[in-house]
Amino acid sequence: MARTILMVEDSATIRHLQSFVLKAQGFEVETAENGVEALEKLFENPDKFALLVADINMPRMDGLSLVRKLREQETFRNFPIIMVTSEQEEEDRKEGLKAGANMYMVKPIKPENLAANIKMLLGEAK
Amino acid sequence: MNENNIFSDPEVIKGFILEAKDHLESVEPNLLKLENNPDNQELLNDIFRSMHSIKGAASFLGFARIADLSHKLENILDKLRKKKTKANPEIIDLILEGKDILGELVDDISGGGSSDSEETDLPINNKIRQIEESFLRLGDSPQNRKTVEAYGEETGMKLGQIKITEPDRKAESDPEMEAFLAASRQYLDLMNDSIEQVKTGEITPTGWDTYIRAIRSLRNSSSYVKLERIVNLLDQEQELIEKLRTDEIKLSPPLVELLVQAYDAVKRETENPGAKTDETDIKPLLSSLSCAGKKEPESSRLGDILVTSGKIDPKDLKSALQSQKPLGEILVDQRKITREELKEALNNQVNLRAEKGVLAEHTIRVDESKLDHLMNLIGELIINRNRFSLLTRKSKHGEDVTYLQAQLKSATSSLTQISNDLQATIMKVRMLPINTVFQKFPRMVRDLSREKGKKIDLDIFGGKTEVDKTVIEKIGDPLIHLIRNSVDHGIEMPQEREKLEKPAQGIIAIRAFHEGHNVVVEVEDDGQGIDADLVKRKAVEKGMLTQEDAEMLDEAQALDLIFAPGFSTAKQVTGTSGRGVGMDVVKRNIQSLNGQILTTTKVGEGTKFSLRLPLTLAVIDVLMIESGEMIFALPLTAVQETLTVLAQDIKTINGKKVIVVRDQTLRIIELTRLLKIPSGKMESEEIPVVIIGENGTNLGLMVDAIREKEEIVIKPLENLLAQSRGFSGATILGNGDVVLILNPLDILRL
Repeated sequence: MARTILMVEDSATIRHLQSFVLKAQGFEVETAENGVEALEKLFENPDKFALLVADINMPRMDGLSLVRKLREQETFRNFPIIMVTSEQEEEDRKEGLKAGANMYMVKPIKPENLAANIKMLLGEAK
Repeated sequence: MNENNIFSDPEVIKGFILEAKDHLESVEPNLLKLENNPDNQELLNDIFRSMHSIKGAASFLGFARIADLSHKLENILDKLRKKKTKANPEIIDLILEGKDILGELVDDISGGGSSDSEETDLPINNKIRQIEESFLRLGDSPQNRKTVEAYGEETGMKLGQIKITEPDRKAESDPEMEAFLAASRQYLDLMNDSIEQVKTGEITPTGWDTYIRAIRSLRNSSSYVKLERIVNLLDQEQELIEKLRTDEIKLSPPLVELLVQAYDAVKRETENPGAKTDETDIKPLLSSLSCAGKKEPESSRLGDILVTSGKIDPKDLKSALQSQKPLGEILVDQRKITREELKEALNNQVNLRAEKGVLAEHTIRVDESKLDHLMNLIGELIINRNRFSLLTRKSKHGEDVTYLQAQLKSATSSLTQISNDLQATIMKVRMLPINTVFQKFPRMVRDLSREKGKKIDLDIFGGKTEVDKTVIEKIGDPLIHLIRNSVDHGIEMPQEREKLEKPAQGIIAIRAFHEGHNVVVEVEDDGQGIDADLVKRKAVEKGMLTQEDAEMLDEAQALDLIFAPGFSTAKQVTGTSGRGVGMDVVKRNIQSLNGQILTTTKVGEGTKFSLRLPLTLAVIDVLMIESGEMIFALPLTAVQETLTVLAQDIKTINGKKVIVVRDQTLRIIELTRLLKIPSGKMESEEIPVVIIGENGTNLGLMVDAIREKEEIVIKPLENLLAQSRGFSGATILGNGDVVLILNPLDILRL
């Protein structure tokens, strides 16, 4: 089963830390710095990724547009997506879910929660 | 299941420490700039972003206190950004103080310390509380107020043991359960919204998608945490809804009612995972869902489901319950027994972290291109080594000697080239801009001058000057002393300055620049200067020397007295300087760096301290000298000149040997006598003399021979040898001989 997680996040620090943690949990991790890059990666290789973790605030293409674009495609209709928002953006959360994210996580994110949420969304056995 | 090992991974933590330090370093100058431009949004945003990043990464890694404090600082900054408060000096003070504590907390991680553990009892806790109280006065958000008040109550009993956050212990102890609960709330919300749409008949295909997505997500999550009852319910529900979406089954009021019931049941189950099942039995609901999902209910299959779910449920739930027993509960239990045990366990954890040696201080960031270059050189080195082994083989086979010589010569010369290049590159890798030291000074001068009621402008020049890491590490303290000295004793009070027709605001300038193989760092102020006569009087008063001796001293020598242990010209001892311990420590530190310190001052106009330091401490230029049948290395920085003296030109005054060099009398002495080693050579007519000295105190050393200048690598003297006066280290020569390196400053005092 594909265990590659695509993480879209514009902060290098968070990207680094999160991928480290996910890798330690046995996931393969690929990263993208913005929505456009993420979309390219996903379309190029739709079967490669098991789940997307997307920050809502990103340069070029934000998380919302990214999710909407993905949900337009039949291939990605059921693709698990975790949207990451920062706490100031109360409104964005509902927006994210409406746009098609499976769930949102509010920054600051605890690594154990991220790993757990991914496993949960993937329906893995503990 | 315990992920602690990942989050205490030294690499991750080291990365965090480096980043956090970078951020904190940029916060400080920005805050100082902000103080002068309180309306500069860009500055505010920069500071905010740094704080935000620290918070994010810290909470990610579970450094609760760092996360909490940076969160609070972020809140204040947010208020500033939104112009709810103005950045007055008090607020800047507060943020600076908070930033300092963050720095301490981060340092503590890097030292493998324990301050991020809530159970440790540290003075830093009190400081944090003070700051938090100040935050409250600034009208922090109610949420934070609650936190602080709550822990205020808590600490009423046991002062110092401060808990900053009130985490939900039960949930936090089992991160997966916590994550599940948080996520399930989202899914339930989505399901609720969807049901509302179903009720009103407004639901769209994408609405159904969202509904199904929520159900699937919750189903998978429940399966992960082994809540099989929820999984069963949701499986049935999903089947039904997918049929509703495709119109395979028509929506009817009873079905809507069923969806609501299913929703309620799932909600109940998730909120109370694994509770006793008698009153909330889901079997009828499961069968209803299953029936509704099939056009023709198949009783046998329904029966199977009923049986399986009925049989498996109790056991499964029990085992799930046990496996889910939150760590926190156990901790709480332990806490009931003894608090000490918990403390011990936490300490153990801390120690384990410490053992991994997360030390940011010992890391250095290297430009990749420099590393590439090093790798290249290593490659060439290996080629060269092979060349030598080939030559060795050839020599065994009786190859022509002239040919071998030529080959050897060329191999040696390319080896020289490579090793020179290697050395230069490694040196570059170790070079850091001196700004790493300078950047803490603006804050220091600001705080000190505020404290003293003085007005001081600090100018920094040449912060990009690169210096070896070892020098960077050691130069900080001496500079702090010198700057404090300038603030304390140099710059006058504003009123006094005005009386003297000087601008009320004093200036302290720090400059760094390269000069040959040295780096020069200057600290200059436009204050009152140092009165050499006053220094002499003080020294006599303190019994450091006699009146007669004092009169003999020239100005430079008199000024040198300020570096003597126990000397202080301050009229009174202040918090920062004036205890008479500062300047001699400065001098000692500079000496230990093979450096020199030069004081120039003019009464009423100011003082300048110039520190001349070698670029690196690892490699120095020395003059090799022979004395008493031994070879010594004398750092070239200390050598003023070398000359040859005729025995008849040596005169004796008061039993001391002197010569006259350019109309100046110069005391000379045999090095062997100074070092108390037997003199080797017979008296000769022509005696080589090396003149060493600093600040006008010169001394001629009579030696047996002066050899060549050489570049050597210093090896420190260890253990007992380290205490021997007169030597600063040793080095190994090409022929394998060990040579002692003379410490000229020690020698001047011998």
